[in-house]
Amino acid sequence: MQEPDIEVTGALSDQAPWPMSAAHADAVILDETEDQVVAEPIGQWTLVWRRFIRHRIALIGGVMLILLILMAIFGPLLSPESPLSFNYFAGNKAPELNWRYLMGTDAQGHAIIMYILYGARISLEVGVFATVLTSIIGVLVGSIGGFFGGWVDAVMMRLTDVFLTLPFLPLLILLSAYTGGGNITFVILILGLLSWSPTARLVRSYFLSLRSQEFVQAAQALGVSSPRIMFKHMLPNALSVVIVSSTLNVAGFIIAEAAIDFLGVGIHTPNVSWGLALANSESYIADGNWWWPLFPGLALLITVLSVNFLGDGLRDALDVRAKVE
Amino acid sequence: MALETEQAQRAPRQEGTPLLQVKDLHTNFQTMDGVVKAVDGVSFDIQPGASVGIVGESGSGKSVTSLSIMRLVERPGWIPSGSIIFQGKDLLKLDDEQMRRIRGEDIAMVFQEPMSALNPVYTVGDQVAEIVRAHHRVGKRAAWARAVELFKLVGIPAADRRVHDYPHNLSGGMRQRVMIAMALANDPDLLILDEPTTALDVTIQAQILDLVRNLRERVNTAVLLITHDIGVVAEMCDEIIVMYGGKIMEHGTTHQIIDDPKHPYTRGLLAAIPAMGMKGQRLTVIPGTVPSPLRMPSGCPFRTRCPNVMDVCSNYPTLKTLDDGRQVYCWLYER
Repeated sequence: MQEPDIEVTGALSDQAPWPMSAAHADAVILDETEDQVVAEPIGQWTLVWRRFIRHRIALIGGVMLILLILMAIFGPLLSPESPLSFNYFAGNKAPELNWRYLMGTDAQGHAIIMYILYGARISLEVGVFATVLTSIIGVLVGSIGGFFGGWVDAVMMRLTDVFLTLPFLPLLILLSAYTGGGNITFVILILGLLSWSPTARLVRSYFLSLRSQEFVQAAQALGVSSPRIMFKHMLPNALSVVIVSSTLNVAGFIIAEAAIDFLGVGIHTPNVSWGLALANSESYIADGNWWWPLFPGLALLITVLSVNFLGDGLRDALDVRAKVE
Repeated sequence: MALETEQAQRAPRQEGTPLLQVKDLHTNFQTMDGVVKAVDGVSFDIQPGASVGIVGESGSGKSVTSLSIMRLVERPGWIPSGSIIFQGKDLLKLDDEQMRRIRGEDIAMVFQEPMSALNPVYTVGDQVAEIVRAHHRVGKRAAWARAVELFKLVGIPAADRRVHDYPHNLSGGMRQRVMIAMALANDPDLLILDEPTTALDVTIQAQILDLVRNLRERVNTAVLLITHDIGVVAEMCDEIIVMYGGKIMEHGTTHQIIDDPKHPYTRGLLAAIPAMGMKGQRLTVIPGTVPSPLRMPSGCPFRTRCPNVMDVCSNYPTLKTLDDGRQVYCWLYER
């Protein structure tokens, strides 16, 4: 559909396809006030960056998230032990000022800090990739339905309804159990494929309202193709809702992954995740091992909050109509 | 004065193949209460390079006529019958891709609201360049150069810098200039202006009308101007079509319509314009209101308000071509 970018140089551009040439254009109708003072415009991305920087909470979220990503990448190097090593004689140790026992140990003598450092990778992977999958499917289904309307919309929305009515958690447990669980790719696929309905609905409703906007009609009236109108003109205008729903999704998926680990159908040893650490702690909480659920829980909380803060700031920063105070 | 000489200079109107022939166009809308016939049997021609104005009140079907020509009538509207012959092709029979190629390349349209007709998330130069690239295989740089050229053409100062602005950086008048630049990007043969100045204040209105008039001389584009303001068409167009209730009432040269209106509706419309030196007098108004589009009277839609109503008016009058060449749909001129 889209023509390739041909950089036209010299000879070719001389034979421009329009008869109205620069010679005509030079004879300007109004007085062109070339020498008037025009403020040099600030680039759009500079403005986005400035708005983002001013958003204190978003900045905190962004910094936290960068730290978490670094932790996910380098965690295994920092960890005092691998998930495979354990020391029965150091089980149920309360936190002390020592890198290995900073967050205490579980009943088998695994350091909790090992769970945190190794688990970051899985939590973030699930959160991010499942969200990417959800957003792609949701945006496609929602934008096609909202743009074309009529029977196309009806088909898309009934499909969405079907996925909305699927009992998410039982199905997830069933599918996880059926495949034996523990496979992170599978967890991502399941989460992503089952959760795109709300995004699709959101995008569709936005597209319906954008559809009646004059700039969409104007683009049509000047011969812009439908796919281009959908993805170049309408989608960027719906981006803020996609970003907001995506950040909520990231948080939701991290929690969902923890939940299926907790239920024993997700990741299991020798892999570790924050959810798994929480799950294992369950039967020991009564013994007063507060550090065991506390640190994985805190890690989840901080991650989810950071993502939400970041999304909040991004939405505001990307709004071109917003003013910089 | 200037009007006659201008008309004499222009190419002979009634000869040659018209650029656009609208024949018996009907456009309907399905509503909860029934079918509204927004455009009900409209026929007219536009010659190459001509300027035609369609005047009418809200609901007269003037905008729907223009949207029908662009084939931009959307559900619940549809075009049950009629033909729109443009350069020998019936637009109503083209597939979507063929129609897309015509829009913006051969026929372009400028909308009423310059505030919302530009995409807020792209620079205006980007949007003009896009229209160029939607129809021609040219690179980004050439399209941008063309955008700057067009900005100069429509009188935007510091064009090479303004192309990098976002729509919200520009005033209403400047945005309308951008819209006109976009419409002219591919040198269309027909430019449809749908209430191009209604949303602008009076001084800017005059500037935009000046611009369109100047551009017409420069780029030889036929113009179809849709407006409720008979003063605007009188100033801008060689020909005027007066619409009411989805039908054409009268169609003639500007001179004929303004100086010697024949249809009672046109007369009423012109009488309602305040004139210079009218002091303490009430304006003449057309009695009654526009009937609901769902309850249009049979026959002539104007008969419920017409001072010259006759029994025969319950049948829609056939086209009468008067001696001076103008077309009137009114029983008064039955011979």
